Amino acid sequence: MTLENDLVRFTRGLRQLGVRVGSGEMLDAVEALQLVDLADKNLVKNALRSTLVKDHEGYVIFERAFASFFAPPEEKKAREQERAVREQEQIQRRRQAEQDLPANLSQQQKDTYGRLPEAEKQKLLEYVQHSLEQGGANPRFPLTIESVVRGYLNYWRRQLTDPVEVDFTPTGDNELDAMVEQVMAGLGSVDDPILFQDLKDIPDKDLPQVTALIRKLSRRLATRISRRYHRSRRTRLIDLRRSIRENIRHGGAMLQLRYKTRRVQKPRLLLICDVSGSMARYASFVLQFIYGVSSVVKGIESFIFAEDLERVTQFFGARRGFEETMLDVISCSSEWGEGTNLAAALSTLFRRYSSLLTPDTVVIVLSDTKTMAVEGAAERLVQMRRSVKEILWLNTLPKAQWAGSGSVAAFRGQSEMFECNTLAHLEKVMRTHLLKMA
Amino acid sequence: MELSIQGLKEAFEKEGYISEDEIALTVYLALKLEKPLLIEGAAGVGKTEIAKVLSRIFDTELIRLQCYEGLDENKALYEWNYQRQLIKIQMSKDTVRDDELEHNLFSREYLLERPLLRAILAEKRPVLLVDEIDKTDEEFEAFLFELLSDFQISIPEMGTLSAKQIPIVVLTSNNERELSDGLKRRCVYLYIDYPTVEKEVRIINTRVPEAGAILARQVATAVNYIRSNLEIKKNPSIAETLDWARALVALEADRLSPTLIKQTLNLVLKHRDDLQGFHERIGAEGLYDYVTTVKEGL
Repeated sequence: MTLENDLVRFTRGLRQLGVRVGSGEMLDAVEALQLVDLADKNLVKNALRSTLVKDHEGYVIFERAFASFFAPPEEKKAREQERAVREQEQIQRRRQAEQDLPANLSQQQKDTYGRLPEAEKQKLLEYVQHSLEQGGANPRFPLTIESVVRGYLNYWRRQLTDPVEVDFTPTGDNELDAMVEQVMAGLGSVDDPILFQDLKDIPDKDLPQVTALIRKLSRRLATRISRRYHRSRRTRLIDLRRSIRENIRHGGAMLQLRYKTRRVQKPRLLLICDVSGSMARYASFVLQFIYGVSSVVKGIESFIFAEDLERVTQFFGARRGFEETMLDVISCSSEWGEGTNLAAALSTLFRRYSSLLTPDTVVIVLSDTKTMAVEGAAERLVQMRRSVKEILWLNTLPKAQWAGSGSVAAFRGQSEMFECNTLAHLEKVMRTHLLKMA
Repeated sequence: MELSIQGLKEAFEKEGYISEDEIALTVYLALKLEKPLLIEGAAGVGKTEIAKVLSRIFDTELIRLQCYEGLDENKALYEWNYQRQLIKIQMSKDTVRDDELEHNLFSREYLLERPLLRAILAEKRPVLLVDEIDKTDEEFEAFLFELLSDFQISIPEMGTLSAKQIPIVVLTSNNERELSDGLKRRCVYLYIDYPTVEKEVRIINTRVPEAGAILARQVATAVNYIRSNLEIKKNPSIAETLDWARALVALEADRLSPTLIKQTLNLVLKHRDDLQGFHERIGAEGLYDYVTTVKEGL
């Protein structure tokens, strides 16, 4: 009974960690455990892994979860105690924030306040005190202070990296929650860090690794897209004309039947990348992305835009090195680092390149959505959506900021929008959408 | 044979397949639980070989279904031998009664059995290898997992046919696309990575014993370096490692040298860009230095 109970809890923990485990798999695991020597930890681990985890990515999570869940009791106890202490500290931090700051803050903002360096905390308190004294008569004034305090704490939240802070919904089972917390904290820091790092922060020295990863992803996309085939319909239709012609030589007896086939069209990819001032920090990524995808997917059309649109396909078509291509693109383009006007850029696209917008076209927009003339741009997007198969928007703006952004709201209706500021995001979009779509 | 984890591991080794405990255990579980075994991993790590070895171990038929995009039930399951039916109609239209003729036309005699049906109707429990399942489309995958859960099929003209024995099913995937949850749920899962130096040395020693200890270790170390440190389009498979070792033996080499590496590298790296990248990044001398200076290479 204890074994089944442990297995149910362990499976629950795996689910919390994002591993998809169904009840059928759990039953398989129970059967598998009956076939191995339970005293051999390695056998138990392998038996559980073969039956519960069904993809390679899940292996890493499983390994850590297993090590954590089936750790010696003393170790587990120590971990639970540590967790209890941390929780207590968190409650105190939140209380302190409520007492010190006259603002309606989220739990995360309260936690951040508690972890601020002492000097910063003092600075914030002094600012609040001073502001309240100065503008006490104005009823709107506390609201202004509140939004400043929130912005300040949000900034510090990004600066302060707490290895233990992980985002998950506790199950109420202390032992299990401690395990999930430990595994999640470990995964964030130890797994391929480049994969999870904001692309704008990746140092130049790591760029080759980024290129390699993007190329790898793009290659998978290319293999998928480049396969063309004729596929018969499930209920096959006889092509009478071809069958009669084919069987004249058999005196009209229908010996060889010919079937109608359906041609599966390759989607035509059209990349539109934002290279305006607000995206400057992502410039390397944008270029790596176009370069990576263009070098493995043939016939892709690429454009860059800021205040207007510019076609850059010709630079990426030739099989040349990345540096050389980049020099050409940057020196021949006038768009780099300008302001953003998506409406104007899309108008140019319609005016000069309307032949590219066909029902087979999948448009991929890479942009942070920050643009002038949002309404105009949204109208153009509606127009574009009618002519193409799909619009996928890879948004470099962190998802947490989407709610407050008018442009995100305006463009989301017309496109499928994905957060895309790390390679892990890009990998996920490629895997879940581009590859399936292709 | 009496099935046990250790017994299976030894049987694999006897057939020239070096397997770790993890592989032996997973195969053992798939056999005992009578579930399909889904093997994922890069090309050339020995996924298909597991099915071949299993058929040799159990001395049974290996039925292979090679998947490709556009594969449908007619190619995978069964098809009526239309031409033969037509000839039969022509020949017997004046001699046999209509209803009798129709009954005869839809009998097993006129059925073209494709791999899946053959596996279901086999007298002795066969090994069914569904190779590169990730190359089929999702519709076929859905059809396949229905079949794998019941091991029976319905042929409208003949009725339902159930498997006489549940076949040993091995599915392989190069991970080019994600397989559906439904299919994964029905399988026991195994991921095979490229072998470690130690394991590859053992593979070379088993398959190319004439290579000798030093050459085997140097070749394994060099291939391992190429796989882990060079960003190349196509990593060398185990078969290519073995080809390289055989080629070096044919050249009467008992150890690597920069010249030999230069002369024979095209057996391992088969892409112009990969060869170019290799020469830019490390070169034959660099690789030789590496294999002779790392501890294992001494």
